[in-house]
Amino acid sequence: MAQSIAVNLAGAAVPPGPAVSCRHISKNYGILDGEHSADILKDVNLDIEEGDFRILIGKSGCGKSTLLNILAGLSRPTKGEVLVYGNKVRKAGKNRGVIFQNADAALFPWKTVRGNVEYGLKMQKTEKKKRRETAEKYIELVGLKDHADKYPDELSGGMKQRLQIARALAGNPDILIMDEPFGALDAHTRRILQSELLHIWKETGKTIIFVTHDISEAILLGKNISIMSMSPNATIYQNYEVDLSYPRNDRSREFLDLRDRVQAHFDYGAGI
Amino acid sequence: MNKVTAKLYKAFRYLVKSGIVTWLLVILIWFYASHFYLENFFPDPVKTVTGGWEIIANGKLWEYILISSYRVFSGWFLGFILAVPLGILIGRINFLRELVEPFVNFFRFVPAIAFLTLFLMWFGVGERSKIILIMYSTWFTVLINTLTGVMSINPTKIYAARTLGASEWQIIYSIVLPSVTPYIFTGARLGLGNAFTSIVTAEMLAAKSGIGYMIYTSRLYFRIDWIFVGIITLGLMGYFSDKIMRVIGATLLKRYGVKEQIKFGQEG
Repeated sequence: MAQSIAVNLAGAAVPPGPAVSCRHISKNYGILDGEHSADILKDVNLDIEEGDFRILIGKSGCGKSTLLNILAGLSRPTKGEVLVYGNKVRKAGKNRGVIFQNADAALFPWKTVRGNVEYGLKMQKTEKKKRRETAEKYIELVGLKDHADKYPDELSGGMKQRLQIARALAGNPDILIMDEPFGALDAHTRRILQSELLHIWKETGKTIIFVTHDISEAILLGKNISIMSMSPNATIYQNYEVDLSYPRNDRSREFLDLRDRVQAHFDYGAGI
Repeated sequence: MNKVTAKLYKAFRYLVKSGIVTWLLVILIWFYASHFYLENFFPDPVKTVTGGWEIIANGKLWEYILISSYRVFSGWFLGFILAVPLGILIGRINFLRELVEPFVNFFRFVPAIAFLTLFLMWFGVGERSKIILIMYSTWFTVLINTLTGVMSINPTKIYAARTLGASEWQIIYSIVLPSVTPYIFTGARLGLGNAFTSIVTAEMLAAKSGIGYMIYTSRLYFRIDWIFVGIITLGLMGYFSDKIMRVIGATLLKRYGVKEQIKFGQEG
């Protein structure tokens, strides 16, 4: 986390400025109700500094996932551009690792845990020994060391998300993009994974962009929280900096105050 | 006493499940039914076996099995090899799919055998026309199944591979191919069924050898028992080749989700 802004995690010199920058992003999927087409996203501007843990929060269907896909380079904005370390995003790139909401869809069921983690490195033609070492390192980091030879269908929901995290980290991305990764887990497992994610964040110093609709999760994890308004014409409505030290106590007064303030946006806030 | 009945019941269940009871019943009914008709028109099991023994002993049956198998498997293999890459390509490229779809939906209702005369004129009366016919009847089924498989891949899998830095070509062989394997396998099995159907008709109409030829010409010698032998041989050939495929699929391709499917009429 102590990285200077001018050097990315791989150690390469980068232009000063935010790690991720969205400029005037609009997304339109085409004609909606036959007459006029509506923008899902309209004029989204967002700067995310290196090492940030940025939460994107909004109600279901507000365009969070659309924005994430654009950040990841899996989908193109109709207007505007995304810059990652000053370079325009044109397609998916391995400097942005993505953890998908649906692990069953995202994992490769014919590969073992190790095979899944090694996949990206194999595609980069990394030599076998190096590949194995890197995979072991991240498998251990996410606590799947004893399950390295299992297949995804032999893992629990929480373990599948751990595997996705290890697989994304193995390619050493600068930025981790996470789309409601713990949404489908039970409360207990979610708690454990949340604190482990914070641990991984501190350990690796990655920039994390994390989508959720759970306000407590947002305040528990985020360094900065961006609240999105509802689509059509969804945009970043307000940013909060969470000035609380980690690990956070979700029963402390500051926590609950902030929780109420964010909740108020959902309950009474204009345009949300 | 109770234990004995339980054991007997278990043994009986086993005999039913393994198909032994079914076949005993079939043979029994066949035996009985044949005596209601002229023996020469409807030979009983005993006459069929002795008649079969004649052509086994003189080697004709083996020869015909070999030639029919050669036609079926070479045509099936060629059709398969052709259909898989094409199916993946069409499935991955939207433009190509839109272009080919009307054509596919037109020809899928035309049975392969409708092309027999054309193929005979184009490719001659030799082996070539028959193998091409089998190829045609196989590749269509495999193509459609492969295509269905490609279309049903969850896009998230492709996205995941892309964000991990895989190129489009790497995605084809490392994600699409393994995902589609169960569909290709089903296509191959169905294709083999089509291949058997087509070869029998083709051999009846335009061949001087093979099981289909044997069934068709036996009437000229008034050897109805050989027709029975031919039909039974076909059933066994189909059954065993499918069984071998299923076992190979379930052992080698298990990781890709290929199961030794249980279908009605097949023991599991």
